[in-house]
Amino acid sequence: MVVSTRWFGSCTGATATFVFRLKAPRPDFAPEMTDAEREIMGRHASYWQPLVDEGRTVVFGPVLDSTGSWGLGVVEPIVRRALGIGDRDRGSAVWAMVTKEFRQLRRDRRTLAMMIILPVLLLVVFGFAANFEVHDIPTVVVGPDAAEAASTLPAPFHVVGIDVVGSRATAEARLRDGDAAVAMVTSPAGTSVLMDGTQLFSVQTARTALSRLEAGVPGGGARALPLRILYNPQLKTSWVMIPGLAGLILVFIGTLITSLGVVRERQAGTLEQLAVMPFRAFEVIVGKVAPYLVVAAADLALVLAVGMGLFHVPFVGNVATFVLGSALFLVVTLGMGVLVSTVSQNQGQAIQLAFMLLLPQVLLSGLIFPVESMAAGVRWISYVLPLTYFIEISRGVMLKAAPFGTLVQPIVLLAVLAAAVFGLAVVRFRRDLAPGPARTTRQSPGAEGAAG
Amino acid sequence: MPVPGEEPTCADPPAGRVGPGGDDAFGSDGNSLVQARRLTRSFGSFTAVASVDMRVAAGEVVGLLGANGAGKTTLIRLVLGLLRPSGGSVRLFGAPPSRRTRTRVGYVPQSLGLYDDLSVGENWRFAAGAFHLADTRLPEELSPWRDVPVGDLPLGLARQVAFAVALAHRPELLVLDEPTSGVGPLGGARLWEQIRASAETGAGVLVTTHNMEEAEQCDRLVVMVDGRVAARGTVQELIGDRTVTEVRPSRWPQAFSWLEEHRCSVALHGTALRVDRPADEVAALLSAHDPRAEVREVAANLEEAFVAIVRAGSPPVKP
Repeated sequence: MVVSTRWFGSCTGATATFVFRLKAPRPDFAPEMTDAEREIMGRHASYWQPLVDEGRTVVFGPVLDSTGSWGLGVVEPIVRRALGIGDRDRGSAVWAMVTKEFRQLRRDRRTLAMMIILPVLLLVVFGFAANFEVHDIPTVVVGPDAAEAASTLPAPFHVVGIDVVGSRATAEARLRDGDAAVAMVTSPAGTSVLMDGTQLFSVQTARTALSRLEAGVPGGGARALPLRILYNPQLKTSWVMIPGLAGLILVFIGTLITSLGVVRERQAGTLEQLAVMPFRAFEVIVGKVAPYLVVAAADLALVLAVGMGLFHVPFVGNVATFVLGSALFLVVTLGMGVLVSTVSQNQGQAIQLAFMLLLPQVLLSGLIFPVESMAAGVRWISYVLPLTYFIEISRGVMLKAAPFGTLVQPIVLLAVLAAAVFGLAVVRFRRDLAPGPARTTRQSPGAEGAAG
Repeated sequence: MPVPGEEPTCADPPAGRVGPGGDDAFGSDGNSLVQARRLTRSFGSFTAVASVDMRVAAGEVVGLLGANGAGKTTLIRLVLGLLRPSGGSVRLFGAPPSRRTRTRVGYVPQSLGLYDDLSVGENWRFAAGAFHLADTRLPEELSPWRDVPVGDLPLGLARQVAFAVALAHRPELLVLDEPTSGVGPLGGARLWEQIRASAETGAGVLVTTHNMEEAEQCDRLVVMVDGRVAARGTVQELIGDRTVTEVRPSRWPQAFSWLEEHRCSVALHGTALRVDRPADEVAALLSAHDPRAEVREVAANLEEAFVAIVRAGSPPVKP
């Protein structure tokens, strides 16, 4: 037997509940149910009653009015119930949570600054830095016809040197020293062009500009100038990137891992214990960073070995020069790690700050984008980044066999940075470890005497 | 008896006697290891330590007694020079705290100051190396755990290691922040045995605690409430002539509830109740409820004296 009943559902917008009406098959259904119908309705009630008891149904039950009897069921949609929407108590709890989070965020100014100011800052700074277009290619022109040739060079070639007595060797030296990306060598036998293959974007732009220049030579048609690309003849990206990436890895290890190591001591309470031991701040720092220095140095060797083995990156220069530059660079990055630790109370803060220092090094050091192509203001940021100088040294030694003399400037600048960063780290760390002799406030003579 | 909440001054030393260092807390004898004068430390608008005067002499155990947040740990950090005072002064071995003076201190912070990932032996060797102790050996009782990482030790044992490390260089002053926190009674007793032994060999001990049994083992106590010294003296001086009312009711649960309902502070000792009201007042309260109850006035213990001092020293609670 089938009880012919029908549920009619409707959703009320104001309350977002579903109202179901069970229409009886006949007006006298309620009083005149057969046993079979009663049994079915009993099962129907057995199903719904627990839902009412659990609060999952707002209202359920029979209604008797002038039209006869019918069934009423009011239920909430399951999603609405799960989210507690419309439930005043739940709503206020969620609101309390939200306001609590906002309060905490408002007080955590560092995170707030990272979330609001940093994206804008990064966009502006990196927007100026992330420039694949090269508008300025430093060029030297050497040979007896240098002056005349230089006068015919259009943009983007930017003549930074004319040497009428210079030879091809002079031109190569200027490229190796990083004075120029392109060198034009004139001689009675003809004109040739040399390019520094470690400056990928500049060389690619120079080649395009050169082909346009050749096509434009009056009566010459497509007279090609002999072109030779030095240091990275096949313009392999890996050759250029790996020396820089090795530095980037060291920045990561040096800054992040060192800062975490020191902050971990603070969180564990052992930093305080160090303060009551006969250590100077400098000794604690040296003790803390020495293992990282060793690991980072091993990392550098490993990364270079992999780079040379896997990507066939050459190492044609002087190992001692490279070691000196790398050591200075490591001191700077480890010092940065200690500095970060002095302004971080926990590991989360240290990670935040370390990444804030890491990002500019990725984008502004010349690892990806040529420093020369960056807007002037942004370029100055790159000049205070240690990775800028490490890249200059590593590419110079590995790819160009640059002698120590030509790398003196980046090495000296790294040494200056190392002294400044490590010195600042020691000063801050000393204050952090123990603030030094206590200030004595003015007291009455009697009090002083009593204090003895 | 000390006057809670009243700041002693040089001209107004705390009343009463005193421990092995003399009764003048600010006397300038050469025996003072720690001397703090009107020592104050604020963090923004919050003052954690307010104008505290304190002295620790050689051979005495001075307890800093106070509830959590009373300023005990901040005071210790000021004494060690790990925090710069906002006001007042502190002298450690007669000089401002410095790296040199701190090396004469053995310090066990609440967090123990040990490296959890290093073994007992490695922690010991680190401390011995730092203090240039070439011929120092790990104490015999810790030898079985020589190769066990400190992080794997039970807290009581880890505290013993921290003690041993702090004592390794034979410090003239021991500074202990909650030394038996989380340690069982037996372990606590062992640690106090070591504290007393250090004092007997002439070291001064400054120890923070909120445990009354431990406080009773100190020669002198400095009670801190909300960053201020609320009282100071020996245990007997702190208790003074304070009394409480002891009640032996016929049915203690009912009597307990009854007295609490009448806003009495009641503590249960066995089946006796100790109430912070005068005996006649308590008797009157119980006359209708339990006329057979025995009510008598007895001397207060340290905990009851401490509660009274804290209540007197705390600012009134706003309604």
